[in-house]
Amino acid sequence: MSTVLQTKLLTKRYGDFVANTDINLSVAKGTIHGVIGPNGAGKTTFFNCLAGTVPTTSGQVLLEGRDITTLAQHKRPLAGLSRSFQVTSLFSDLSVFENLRLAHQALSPGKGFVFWHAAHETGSTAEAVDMVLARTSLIGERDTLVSELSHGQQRVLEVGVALMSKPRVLLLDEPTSGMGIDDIPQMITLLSDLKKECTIVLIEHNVGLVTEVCDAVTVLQGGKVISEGTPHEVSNDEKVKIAYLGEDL
Amino acid sequence: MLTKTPLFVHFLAAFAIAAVLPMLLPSYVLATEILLFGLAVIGCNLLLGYTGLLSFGQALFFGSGSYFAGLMSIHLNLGIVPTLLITMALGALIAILVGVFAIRRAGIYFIMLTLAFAQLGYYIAFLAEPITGGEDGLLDIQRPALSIPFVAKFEFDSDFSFYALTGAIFIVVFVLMQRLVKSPLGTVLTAIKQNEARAEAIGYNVKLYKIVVFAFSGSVTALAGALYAFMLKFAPLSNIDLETSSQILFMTILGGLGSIYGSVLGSAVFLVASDFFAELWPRWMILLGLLLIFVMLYMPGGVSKSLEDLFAKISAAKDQRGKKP
Repeated sequence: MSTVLQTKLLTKRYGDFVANTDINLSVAKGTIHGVIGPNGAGKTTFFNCLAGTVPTTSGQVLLEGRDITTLAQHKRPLAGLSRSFQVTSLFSDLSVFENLRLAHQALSPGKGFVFWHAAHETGSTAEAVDMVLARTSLIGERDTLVSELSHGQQRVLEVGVALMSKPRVLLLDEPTSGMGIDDIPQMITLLSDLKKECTIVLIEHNVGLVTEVCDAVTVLQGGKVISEGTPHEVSNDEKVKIAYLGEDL
Repeated sequence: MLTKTPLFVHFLAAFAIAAVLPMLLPSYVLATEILLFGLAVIGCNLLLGYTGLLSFGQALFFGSGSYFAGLMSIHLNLGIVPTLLITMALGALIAILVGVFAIRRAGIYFIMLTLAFAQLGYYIAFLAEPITGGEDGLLDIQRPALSIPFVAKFEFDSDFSFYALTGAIFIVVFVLMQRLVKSPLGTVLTAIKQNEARAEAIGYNVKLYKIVVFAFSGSVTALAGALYAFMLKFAPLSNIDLETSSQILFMTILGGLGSIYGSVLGSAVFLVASDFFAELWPRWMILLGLLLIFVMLYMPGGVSKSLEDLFAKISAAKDQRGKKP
């Protein structure tokens, strides 16, 4: 299997604090790759480096072999890399449709600077939006304001917005965070469905979800990789058990 | 939700505003002032109401517009259209310069930077006395004429003709701005206001968009400043001072954020109230202050929002009555 996303000796420092140390990660095409670890392990920092939200201190990020380490965040969706947020981060006073439409519009470079005609809401734009609405089962909420959606629906839309750019690599930051137990199966179905067309890197706390959907798992602790493998291998790794449950066990 | 009011409806509305305003007011001068400050408020609203950028330095663009247009009319005598277009371009340029630096910081620091740039402009205007007239302001400004070669030449010497000019410009800018806020650019600005991080993450270069909106704001505000100088036939130093900045900001919040109609309403309410209070009492600023406090406390969303709510209530009540047998 070929590697689509790779980091080489990725390090991120905030002043004296080292959040990520020499992380090497290889994500195989067409897989769901989980990144797990206890609180403060540096997962979100690592993720922000992958997405370009924060600059890396040293090391490299390669997307399909292309070095994107210093590529601006706003250029990454067009390069094929898209992210979602752990804390729902949507345009909450806009409709579901408008949230998705904005993400679609962002893909045509320069389009957003057009001020002499009204924004397109039909044709290919509407088609692209409707496709994502259908996949995320939000078709009935097309014109609902995001602030009026349930939390579960917002989490799904969070993924939907990231999907609009037809990413080849999708970075999902705790897609089920704050979701009720009843909503999680919907997310699992969505992720398994998405796997057919893109590679997913997933930060997740929900171990059940990780074992169910992930093909490979990387465990971080203290900003370093301490274990890697299939969910089964990782869950039997002594180091991982210690990291999660403490020395005494 | 994007509302889909056709552009010609906005055109008709702007036309109606410009036509009716002088009938309701004691003078053409006050009507002129309302429309031109309406433009300045639209410029402020692009930043604050649509993009979420609170600029405390709008007087820099307004005052610069006054000076540029005044100086051009004195030294170059280009005619009204080139004068105003060049003023707008220069206004955009200054705004880009301010924008490039100010947007590097967010929140309170951003606000302070816009204020600092405006104060810088004020002192430059104050010190450059040979050019700007310093404390006395720039005197002897003539209103340039509109000459269409071989056809006609329009002078704007009377209050009425100058009002007609301002009204025509107002209608054009009003319609263009209605178009802008519903355009792809306008939707991106709204996205930035609501969630900057996400706007960047889905692929928008947020910084560049902020600079672009500064350019629009600067050019519209400079246009307003130019018209004001031509109205007064004089560009006072106060056009570029802190009070003018805060006045534009007050009008913007008074009228309602994120509404082009609200912008005109804010300008109208502010200026009519000032005019009215000034006749009542020499210390009229106190009354104006009380009015502003009242609006802030009891009309969140500004006058335009309160009017909308009122109309919604009335029409709801009508529907109810209609349903009863």
